[in-house]
Amino acid sequence: MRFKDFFSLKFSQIDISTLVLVFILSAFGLVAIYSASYFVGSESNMQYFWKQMLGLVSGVLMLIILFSLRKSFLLSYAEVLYLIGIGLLIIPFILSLIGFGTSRWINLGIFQIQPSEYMKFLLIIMLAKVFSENRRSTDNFGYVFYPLLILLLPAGLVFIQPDLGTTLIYIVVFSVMLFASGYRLYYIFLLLAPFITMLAAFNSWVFLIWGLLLALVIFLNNKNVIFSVGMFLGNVLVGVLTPYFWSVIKPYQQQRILTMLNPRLDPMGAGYQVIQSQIAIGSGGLHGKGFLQGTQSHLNFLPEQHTDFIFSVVSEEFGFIGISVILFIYCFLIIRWLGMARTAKSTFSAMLIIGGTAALLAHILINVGMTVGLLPVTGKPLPFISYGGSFLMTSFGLVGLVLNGNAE
Amino acid sequence: MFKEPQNHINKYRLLAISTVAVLLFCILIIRFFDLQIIQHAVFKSQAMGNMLNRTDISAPRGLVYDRDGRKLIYNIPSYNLVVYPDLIRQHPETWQKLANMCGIPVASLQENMKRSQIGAYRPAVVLRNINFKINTCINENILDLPGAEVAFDPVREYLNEIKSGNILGYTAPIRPQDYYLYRQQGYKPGDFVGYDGIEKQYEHLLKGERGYRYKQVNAVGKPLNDQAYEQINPKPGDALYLTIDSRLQAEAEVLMQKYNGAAVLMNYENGEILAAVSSPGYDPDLFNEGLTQAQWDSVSQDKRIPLFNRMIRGQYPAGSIYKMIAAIAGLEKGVITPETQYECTGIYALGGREYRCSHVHGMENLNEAIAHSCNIYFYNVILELGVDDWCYFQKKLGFGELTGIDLPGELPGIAPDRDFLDRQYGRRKWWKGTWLNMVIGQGDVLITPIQAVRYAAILATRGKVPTPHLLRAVHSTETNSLEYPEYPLRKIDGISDNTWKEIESGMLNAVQSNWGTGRTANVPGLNLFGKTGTAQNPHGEAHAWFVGYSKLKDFPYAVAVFVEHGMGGSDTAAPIAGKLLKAWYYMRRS
Repeated sequence: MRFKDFFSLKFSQIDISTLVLVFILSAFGLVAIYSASYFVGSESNMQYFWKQMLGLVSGVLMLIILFSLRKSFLLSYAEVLYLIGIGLLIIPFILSLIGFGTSRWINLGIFQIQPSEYMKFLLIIMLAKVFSENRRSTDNFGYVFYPLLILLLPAGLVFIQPDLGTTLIYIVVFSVMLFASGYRLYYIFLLLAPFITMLAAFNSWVFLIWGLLLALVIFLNNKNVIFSVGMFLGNVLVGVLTPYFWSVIKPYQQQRILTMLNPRLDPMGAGYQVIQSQIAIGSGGLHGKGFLQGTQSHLNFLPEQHTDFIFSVVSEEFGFIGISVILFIYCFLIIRWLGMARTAKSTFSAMLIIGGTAALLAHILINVGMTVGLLPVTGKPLPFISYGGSFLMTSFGLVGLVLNGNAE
Repeated sequence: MFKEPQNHINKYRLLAISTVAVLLFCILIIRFFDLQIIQHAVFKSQAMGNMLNRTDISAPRGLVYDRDGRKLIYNIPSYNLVVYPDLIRQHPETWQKLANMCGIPVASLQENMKRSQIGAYRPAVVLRNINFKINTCINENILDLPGAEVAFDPVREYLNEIKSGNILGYTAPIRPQDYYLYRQQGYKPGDFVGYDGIEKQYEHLLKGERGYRYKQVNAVGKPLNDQAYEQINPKPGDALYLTIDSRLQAEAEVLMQKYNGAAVLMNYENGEILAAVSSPGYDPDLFNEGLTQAQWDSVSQDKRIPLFNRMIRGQYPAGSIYKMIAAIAGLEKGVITPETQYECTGIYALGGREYRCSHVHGMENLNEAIAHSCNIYFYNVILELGVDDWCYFQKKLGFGELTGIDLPGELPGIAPDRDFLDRQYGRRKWWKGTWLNMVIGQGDVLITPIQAVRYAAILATRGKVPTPHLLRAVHSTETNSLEYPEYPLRKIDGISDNTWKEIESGMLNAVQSNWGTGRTANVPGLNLFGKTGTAQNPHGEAHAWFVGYSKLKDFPYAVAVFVEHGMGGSDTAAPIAGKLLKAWYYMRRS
């Protein structure tokens, strides 16, 4: 096998405006990281800045690799790559069981790799292949089983690490791709129903109303009586069992689950971060306090300010105007990529674009939502802006995947 | 055969995804708008609160000057060794190092910290007023002494010559049992406040207003640098100008040194007190430098009770200085005239009891009776007069009420009247014999030295009642102006000039004739008037009194001297009074 079988260097087809905007965002990130690692009263710490530069270079390499991979190669080797990814996810898990390191990272001495990051690409490629092959059977409920299995394997492994944020990203990527594949909305509704049932089960009135709504939707959409009744009764069973399981588990376990769903319940931990983050954002005002003038960040009130809470630093120093510009660029990129998915030459290409876009969108929304206190603190960084070489490689890699889908 | 790839993605579904994405971005933008524009003010103030740590800057306490602007009380720099309880708990080895440097056992340093500690994060004083050597030693090794620090804190210093702590007062950290009194006025635990005397009386003027220094801090409260982010300077306390003359005060203290008692010299025209002594006094400096238990015991358990201000709180039988009341009452009610004579045989019998006089005076008129201090003359007067008229004039001359002097804790004494006697002995259980004791200032009569000097002033001015006071002027730091407080000046009416004149001539003879009881007080040329008193008391030797005044032009000064167990007024009290007036006379001229 030769190099050309894997790669095609089609740089003329690269989308220049995407690259420009991504680099603008990265530049913003460098500025924000310089500021976040600049503490009043101590020497300016350029270490983070240069490490981020290095991360950007690695990110660009990653982008080029994923952009250049041949789609024929991806289609042929999707399953192999996916299984390698699963294997890598299991390795650190086993290592941690026998007492070597944490379950998230594989330590290779000079650098560490985080398999759950690379799994994002592999999952997207695998799902893109599956969703583009099984075109004809989207009217069949069973269409979902195979892709669902492909999701649940890595999602389950990541969830028990435990990494709720990444699990969520996988689920979002899967859901968006499933939706784009043309799967019947009614089936998607049925897939979501048990989760809503669980939540509704804690209040008898809400449960009753939800039950009626569920029955109505099932009645209007399906003629297969056994399937319909089975679906409905299954949901009722979930609804009845949920409060029972909730009451059986120990209070500290309940607390752990609640804290996982909403870390603000832990006031000295994540709650503190969210409060300080909101103070930083709110005190920024319209114009912000100016570069290096943020008091919240420079006086060290913000935890994780150069990684997960980088957006608070930006908000504090550049204000509503700065935030609006950045959010606009993100939004513009997302819409532009979804437009590429429409004009892509094949379903597989479109699915690669949709998967990559979904992953980046999920990261942006989860991070910013956490920063402003709308979503739980899951510890997900912000693409292109947060500090961290590993995540920069993921982000640029996802862009590479998107641009690859866009090229012929 | 490779199939021509096709894109089967439904464009409406893509449109739906795009719409949802845009909507989600809109939600984020709205949230940012809410936080950054609508709620901006709230978060801005929270961020300010986050970054700033406020420390107090204590206000320099107001200075106190004497009437000529000589410093009586001032502030001198002092350095205290303080520790931060939370830090030193993490570095217990600091204790031993500090103990070695100061030469004081660890246990007693820790004991001091416990006493002055106000929470884990505020500095607690472990050693006050450390000397230069210890100060330098600690500062040089400050990096090896985590949790310790030397803090600058000025202390009060009192003019060395003056030991009248019971008049000037002293300052000390608020005692725990008093804190509830001060808390509402904005004091903090550990603040110094005035205790006793002027320091307590004028605490509100002297204390000034605390300032604040705001420093930028990081999330754990550690200051970033030494620069103040913002500083609100403290307002120094007002400066007080007292009526006291420090030279005369020192002289008066010396004159009284040997005795327990009190001496006051007052301007009878306006009530300004030039010298006020309650003997023995104590050195107020003792308290300011942090009293040890032993020092406190030596002051508080001294048998001579120096903490007790005899001038305003000592209530003693008045003795013969009280006799002028009966004289005034008798003349005013027409019971006697200046010519009325009574015979003194040395003993007066009433109801089977004998009431004595000091001598056998023979026939005496009013003038002679005052000058000789004849008891029997006044027994006759009160028996003619009746107790109620006498009581009326007793009250009129200001006994049984506070003089209103600007010192804390003044007591009113007892001016017995019908109601009092009924309460004391029961209705009809007292009789004329009781009156005989009262008329010569014995029995239930109790007065304070400050009342005695006011009494002298009333007699000197023929009925003007000044308010004795120590504060002459306040120099307000806020307006930078001198303000002279006004004191009430009352006039007693209903006493004729002739009556006053008769009393005066009696008091003149008491001092200036060679047969008066108060002749030991006389200073030729000062034109002194006066009256001695020798008050019997159940505790031992008689107390000695002298009240008097000068009628010299431009020398309007009254004096009262009281000596506990001083035997006779003419023996101890009168000479002191004379010396005091004389001293003041020459000081004033120089």
